[in-house]
Amino acid sequence: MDQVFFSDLEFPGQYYGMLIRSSVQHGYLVDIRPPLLPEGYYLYTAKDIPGENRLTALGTSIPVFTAHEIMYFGEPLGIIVGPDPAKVHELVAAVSIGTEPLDPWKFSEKFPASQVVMKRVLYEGDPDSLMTDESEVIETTSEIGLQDHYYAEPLGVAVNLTTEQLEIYTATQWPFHVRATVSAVLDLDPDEITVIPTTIGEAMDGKIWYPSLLAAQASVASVLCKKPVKILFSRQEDFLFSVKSAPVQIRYRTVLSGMDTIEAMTVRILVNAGAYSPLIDEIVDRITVSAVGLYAVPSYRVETYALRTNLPPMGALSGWGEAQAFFALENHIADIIARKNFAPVEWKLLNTINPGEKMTPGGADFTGKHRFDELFETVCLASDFPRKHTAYKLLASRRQNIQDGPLRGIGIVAGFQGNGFLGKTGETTRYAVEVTMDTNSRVQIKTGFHSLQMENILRDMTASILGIDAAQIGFTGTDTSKMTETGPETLSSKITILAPLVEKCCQTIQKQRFRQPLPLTVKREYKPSKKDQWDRHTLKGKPFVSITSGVCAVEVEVDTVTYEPVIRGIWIAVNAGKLYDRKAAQTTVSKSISIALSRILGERITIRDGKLIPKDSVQYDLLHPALIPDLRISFLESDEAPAGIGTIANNLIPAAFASALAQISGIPFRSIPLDARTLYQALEHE
Amino acid sequence: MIPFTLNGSEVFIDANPGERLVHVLRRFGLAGTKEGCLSGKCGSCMVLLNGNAVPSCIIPIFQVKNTTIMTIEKFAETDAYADIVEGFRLAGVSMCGFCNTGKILTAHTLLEENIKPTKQDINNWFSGNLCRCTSIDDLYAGVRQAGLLRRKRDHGK
Amino acid sequence: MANRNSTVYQASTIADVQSILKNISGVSIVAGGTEIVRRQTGRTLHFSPNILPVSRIAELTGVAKTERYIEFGSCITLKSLLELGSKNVPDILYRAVQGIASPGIRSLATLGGNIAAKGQRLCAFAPLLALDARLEIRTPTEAYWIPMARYFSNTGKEQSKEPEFISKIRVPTDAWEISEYRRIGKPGIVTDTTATFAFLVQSQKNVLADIRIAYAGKFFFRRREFENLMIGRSLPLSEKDIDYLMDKADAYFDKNLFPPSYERKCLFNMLEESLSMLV
Repeated sequence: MDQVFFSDLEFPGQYYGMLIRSSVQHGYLVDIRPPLLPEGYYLYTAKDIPGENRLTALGTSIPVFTAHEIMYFGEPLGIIVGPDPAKVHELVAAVSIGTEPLDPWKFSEKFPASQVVMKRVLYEGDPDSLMTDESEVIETTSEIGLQDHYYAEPLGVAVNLTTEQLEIYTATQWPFHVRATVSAVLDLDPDEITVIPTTIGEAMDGKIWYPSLLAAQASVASVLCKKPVKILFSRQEDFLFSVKSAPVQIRYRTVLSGMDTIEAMTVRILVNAGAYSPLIDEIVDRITVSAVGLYAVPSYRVETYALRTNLPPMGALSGWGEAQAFFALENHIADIIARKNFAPVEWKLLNTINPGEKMTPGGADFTGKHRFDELFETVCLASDFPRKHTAYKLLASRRQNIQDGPLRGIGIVAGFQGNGFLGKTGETTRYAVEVTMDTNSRVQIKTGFHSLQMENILRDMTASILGIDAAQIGFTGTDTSKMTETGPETLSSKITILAPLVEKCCQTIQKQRFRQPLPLTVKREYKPSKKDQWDRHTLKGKPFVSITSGVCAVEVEVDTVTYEPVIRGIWIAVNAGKLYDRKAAQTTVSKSISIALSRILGERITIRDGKLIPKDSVQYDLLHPALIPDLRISFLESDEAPAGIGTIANNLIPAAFASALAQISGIPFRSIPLDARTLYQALEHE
Repeated sequence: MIPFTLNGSEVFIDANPGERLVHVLRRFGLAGTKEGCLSGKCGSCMVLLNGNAVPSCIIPIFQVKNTTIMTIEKFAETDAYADIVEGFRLAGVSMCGFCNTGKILTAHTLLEENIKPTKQDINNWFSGNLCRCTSIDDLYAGVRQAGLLRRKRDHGK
Repeated sequence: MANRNSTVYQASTIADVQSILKNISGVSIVAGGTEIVRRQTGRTLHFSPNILPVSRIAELTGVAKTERYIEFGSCITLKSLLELGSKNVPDILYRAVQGIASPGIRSLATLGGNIAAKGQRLCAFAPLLALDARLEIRTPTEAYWIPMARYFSNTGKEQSKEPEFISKIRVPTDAWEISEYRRIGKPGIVTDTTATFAFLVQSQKNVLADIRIAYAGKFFFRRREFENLMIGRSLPLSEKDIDYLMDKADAYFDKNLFPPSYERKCLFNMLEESLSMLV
């Protein structure tokens, strides 16, 4: 597969577009007053849209160009296009926007009902009755801040008009959504639109629906001015206005039984949904379902509220909510363990559901699949956790002041990654593959996704099943006119859904090829069994296609001079099921560890008056590679279906890190990212 | 007019002094140099300027007067490029495509300076190639493998 | 704000630079330009209406070494400085420069540009301050040498009558028994808490002969009076000596200018850690 980037594409007569953006966080749009436009330069706003002025994704609608109520600073109000990008930039800067400001929606513990865009409550028993004044209730509140995806190629789109088709080139995780959106916005037949997904790189779930919005905006301009139009965000524009991971605040309250097991737990989750969040249903469902992890909690209540605020759209980032849930949950568990002086691993295993028991919220059955005892054993052996934990605890207890170094701690957490989703995404999207063997025993695979890594895996797998050379295997369909219609490429759908479908197709062909004439085509579509269906209304059933369980230990040392936390080691063990390619799996987990470390150590975004401000006040930064320690990654392989591993590290590392720091300081750390200044304040007891 | 040598040819360009070198190069059709971060950190825009791998996004065009610039397109014709690409392939280094230019040119200049770099050397050199797509362990293996291939080629001469 | 279509002047020699400064008003000198560009996020860069690039002037990129000092042209790139090797460059300066940005940026950034950066003192500043670096300053009509500390203390306090630029940086190459450099902040990122600390010690016959302590971040500190408290003391120092010196430091590092904060605490931690090496 050749790598093509939309930002490299130039069509004859190329026009460049730049969005006109709101100058207030919240308000009514009164008017847009552009400067005098030279010949060949055009301005388009909501009134110019031939079809629907909205993008719809998973039940949420977002205006293509806002016409009335502005919901976040920088919200697109229109577009100016022309042949010279510098001139377009100059014209956009000269546009005046009249607004009537309104008070912004804030993200706060107390909120009006009208601010709630989504709510979920799951409960079993009556946990409040067990949390009396006499009982010891342990409470922890954690906060997880925004993170930017920082994919290599900033967002954008290149639209080309031909006589037959509207061609849209963009890096998207959901090409069929781009097509459907543009079709509705332009009131065009979908067959008149071809979406050619360009190389996406490491999108981290930041390119699921947003490219569709840009495609709609550029397509409106292209069709109306009859020119190919390209929108290319600068890094700063991408940072300021594109989707971020939703900030979350989670409060846990737990009461223990006389046997020191969890007796009751209440969880209150607030998700900052920003101005719009098409993925909010899935995020809220997943974070609710993940909120008690795989702990056995006889009596619980989980309440999740997604709140609308006047910030740019919020969404997923390498996971759809579990990372936030696990950070807060494991923070809370670490609190309990520290206060009660429990042995961490033993207590966690004591309170984890047993094989055969239902996963607590929702009652899903992942019988015997978590293998936490083996995972803990692997990580404890590799990291020497028990000895280090005891030694560092002793050091901390004897410490007179912070100069009594070394300041070291080690934390260990267990959790999972949920793969696929049977909720709204499953209802509105489908995953299908088609495999054809021709008369020369050459094979063509037709799927929705074309990552290089997945192609290699599918090629090797197909070659192995059919006993042919890998060179005889090709992939059809690099655009929507040739692909099978699929849902978004996310939540490990490639490895957990598509790869098994391709495997089944190949196995069927192998059975039939010597008995039936070639060519042979086999199609398979993913259909969850009835007993696996997830009921979105009662939140019962199986919320994921599968889970990938994992355990992670993180050892930290704090520099006694500068208070900088330094990661000394990371050990992670993952229950990965069948591994098609061990090397690729190692790489995937390694990258996910880097993302997690960068998140906890560096990627801070401040919000001021609805505007996003990066940590260094000029540019958003990723972690320096020298700060990534040696990684020890282990897999528990089995013949179980392959499990996704793309986000497991991101789900586990933040909590393990916070737990290690809490051991050093004696104070739990409730929010990420964590920086040296925060540690200084904690260690110096300010 | 700003004269400089681009991929072996003398060129003269008339540009706004505030134009970044990356954009000038892309106007020449040299799409291997990508616009990534515009702050010199991601490495997607790297070129060889007087033999040094530098981020072209932080170079205003007036700074390249009388310099020699080589982009990835020209560098791809060299044996050094082949060593690196093959070394990365043997080590299983996966790259997103957008940052390849930076990683390849950085590897080249590192190996020019030190044919057997340590992990620390690689960490330091690649601090200007921030992309989430490549595992750091794979990068170590890839650079070392490329170094091995280069040594073999040099000894073979 | 800057005029996008800036006029770029050309100079091949120091004399050319002086002539341009004399004849054209409001000219901004640009060396590597990395610090100017770092702060701009738009596609087009904005400079002053009149700019004079100087990074390729041979007289400003040379290096001269004598027994007592090494003299850098102000436009020597950080990479070229490192290529001189750790044997030729004072260790503390070498280590500071090694940690600046990335190799690509070090190929463009200059030593002069690093110390002249406005708004925040960058990483070569504290080591050069501690080493008692001197700067050759050129105006349109003259050249003079001035200690670096005095030059930057003066900058901004008096309106300069004439335009001027740093042409050379002279760094003594005394041998130091202890040469400590610390940086606050994550590598590769400059934020408002980024700062550096330099600590140098020389002794003779178990007596502390010379000590230099410098800090540079949002502002810079070096107090000779504080250093003089230690010079002449017998080595090793005692714990009581350290306590005494830390108390004195509290007074010398003016709380009005440098209030209690994370940065102040780091400075004191670095100071205490460094002094502990003399125990």
